[in-house]
Amino acid sequence: MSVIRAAARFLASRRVAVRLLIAFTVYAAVASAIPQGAPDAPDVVEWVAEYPTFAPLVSALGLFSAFTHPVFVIIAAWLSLATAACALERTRWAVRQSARLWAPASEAIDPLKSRHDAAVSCDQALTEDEALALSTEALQSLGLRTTAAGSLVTGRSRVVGLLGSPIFHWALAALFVVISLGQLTRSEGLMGVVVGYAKPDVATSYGFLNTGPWHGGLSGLTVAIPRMERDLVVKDVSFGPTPYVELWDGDRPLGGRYVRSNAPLRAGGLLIHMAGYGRAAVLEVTGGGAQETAEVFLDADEDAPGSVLPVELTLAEGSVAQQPVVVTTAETDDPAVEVTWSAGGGTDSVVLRENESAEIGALTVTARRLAMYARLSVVDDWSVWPIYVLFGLALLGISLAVLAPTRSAVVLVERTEGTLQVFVRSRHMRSDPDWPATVRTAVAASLAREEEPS
Amino acid sequence: MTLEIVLMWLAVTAYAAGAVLYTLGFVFHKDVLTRLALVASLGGLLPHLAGIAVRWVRLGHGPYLGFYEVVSSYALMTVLAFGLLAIRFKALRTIGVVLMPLAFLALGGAMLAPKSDLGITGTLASWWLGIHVAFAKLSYGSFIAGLGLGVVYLLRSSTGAERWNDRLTRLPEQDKVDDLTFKFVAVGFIFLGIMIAAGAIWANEAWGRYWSWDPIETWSLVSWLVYAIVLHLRLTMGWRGRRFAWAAIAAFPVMAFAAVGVVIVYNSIHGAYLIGY
Ligand code: HEM
Repeated sequence: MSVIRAAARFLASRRVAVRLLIAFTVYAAVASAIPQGAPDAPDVVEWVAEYPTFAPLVSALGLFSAFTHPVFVIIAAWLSLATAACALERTRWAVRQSARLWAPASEAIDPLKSRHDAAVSCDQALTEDEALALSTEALQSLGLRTTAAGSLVTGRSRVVGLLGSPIFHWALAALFVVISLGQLTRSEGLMGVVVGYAKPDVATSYGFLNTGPWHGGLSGLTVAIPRMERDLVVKDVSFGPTPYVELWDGDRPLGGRYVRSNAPLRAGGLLIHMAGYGRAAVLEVTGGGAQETAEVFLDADEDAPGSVLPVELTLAEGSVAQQPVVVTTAETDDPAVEVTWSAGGGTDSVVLRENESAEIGALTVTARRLAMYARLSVVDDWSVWPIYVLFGLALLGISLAVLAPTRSAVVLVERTEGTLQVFVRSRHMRSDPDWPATVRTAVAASLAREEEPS
Repeated sequence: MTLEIVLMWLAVTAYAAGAVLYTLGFVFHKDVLTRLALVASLGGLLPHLAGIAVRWVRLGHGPYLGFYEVVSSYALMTVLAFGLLAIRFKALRTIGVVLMPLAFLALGGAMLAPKSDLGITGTLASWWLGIHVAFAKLSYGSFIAGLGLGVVYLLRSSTGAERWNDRLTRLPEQDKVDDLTFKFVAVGFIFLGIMIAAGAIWANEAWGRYWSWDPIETWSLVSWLVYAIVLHLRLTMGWRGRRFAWAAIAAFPVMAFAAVGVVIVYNSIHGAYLIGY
């Protein structure tokens, strides 16, 4: 038991908290100087070539994936536990404070009278009741809610300000948990779909797929692109080639829209974005009594504007030995693919338009469709909305804590030896240096009012 | 020269005059100069706002694309933050000694950068852009006000600096300056938080990822955490007065690096916002 208590106390230590925050921050700052990605990612390869002295060390330390590195995970987990421990401590503190705020203020009488600077001058013609009523008005004019008991009037601002810090820290602790769970269960991939075709949301449809270790399985829904605009213009902004994407559950439509930057297609936790486009050829290969369809994605060659990167394809059909063919394409207005294959000692090639065929060895290759394709980014992540909500809650909490700090004031009215005496004490959660003066001035002004000729 | 450029140079001149007059008024302890400095500084806001407005109307987007627009709007926020302080708290006018040279340097630097007309692209066409950018600028304005207040606090409290004290007598009490520093830092922290949230939501809409540890994302988180550390030092470790002022000052360069430095140093997908690709 005492071990648990010691651990809790250690977690809730404010010094440790600040150090953890510093550690997290410094780690993130250092890691930002190193490109993040797989060893063959272009940024990483470039960096390794540029800094041959550091690169082996950075690589050995695993810092090319710094934000999933055990050291980072440990710091983040520890910080999240500490934040939860603090949130608990902050909640207890808020409960104690609000109890204190509402406790009978009679305990305040003696300390009030003994403090010299608490006295406020007032119009001696007032009765005690009048002075109390005027003090109440003064406190109310400061936005405080008042309760009177005997010779005391107490004013308090709403307690909601006390909740700010606990809400903020709880939301942050929960945020750590939800973000981690989201990362572990998220899937994210790129899927090429030819215009006029559809693909199921299953692993084999993806060119690249990254699933978290706890991912529950892909949706199996159908992603279809019935058409694509060459250049979608919305409110004078040109979005370039834009696919109309539809999502189907069997033959039940789930949604459809033009998918472009800032306008993804959503269905449940699925989020579909446009990640790129290019030309595509759907080739039908027949031979030996069998038929096979091959989808070829032809992306623009950035080094040679106007042309596309050739794609190597292996045709395996019937008794014919595997035949590599190279497919390229040109012209948008008159779509065509060029198919090249090795024959004898050299190469042969043919240009095919839609529905034209060529004999390659014992195989017949038909260009069934020549069209655009869209590379869709498909993300399955339930955690995005909860993350927004928690972050919003955190911001609400911190705003409450900073902008609506709890304030209180107590006024004591007493007649001793014929003299009317008024004492004031005030408290401000953020120790705003103006608050005591504000309270005194308001009370004094209210009690002096009677002196003015009406 | 176009109208916009003329207006901007007028603003640069006014800020330069403000900065010089503040420094002279401060060093020679001349009230007249300080008053003139305030007039020059706030006077510069007019051509500056007009210049930005002319460009806004011409290009159809606010000042957030490319180094010139971004840094010029940071200068504007600095002078606005200063104007707000100077008008709300008359006694804080001397803070211009710190803020006006910064505003002048920022706007001067912006004027030297290429002023190419960048258009709104598909990725930028989002409501989140406005929210993201507005809160980035608000947080910057708050932190720079916190910086100025921190510097003033330190100047007045440094021992053997009666010279400074004489010159800064009109400022509010030190505990008031201390409290204001805290308030600006805290409000800046909230604004920066909103900016980060809006950025993450926008990234998810535009790219399908709410966070990808891109250098500029990382650095905005780093600067948020640095200010969280500053707030903790005050609220949980009891740092007040000089120590707190130092903390508020020390955090500022991190924020400035996140706002301007990162896109220059790193190769970031956010590059469009400062460099313009
Ligand atoms: C991700 C981590 C954290 C961040 C970003 C953060 C941020 C903040 C901020 C901005 C404040 C000032 C606003 C307020 O009063 O609510 C604050 C206050 C505070 N934090 Fe944290 N915090 C974190 C974790 C922690 C941890 C681990 C502890 C535990 C020791 C802690 C303890 C406190 C305390 C005691 C206050 C003072 C509350 C008050 O005076 O009302 N925080 N924190």
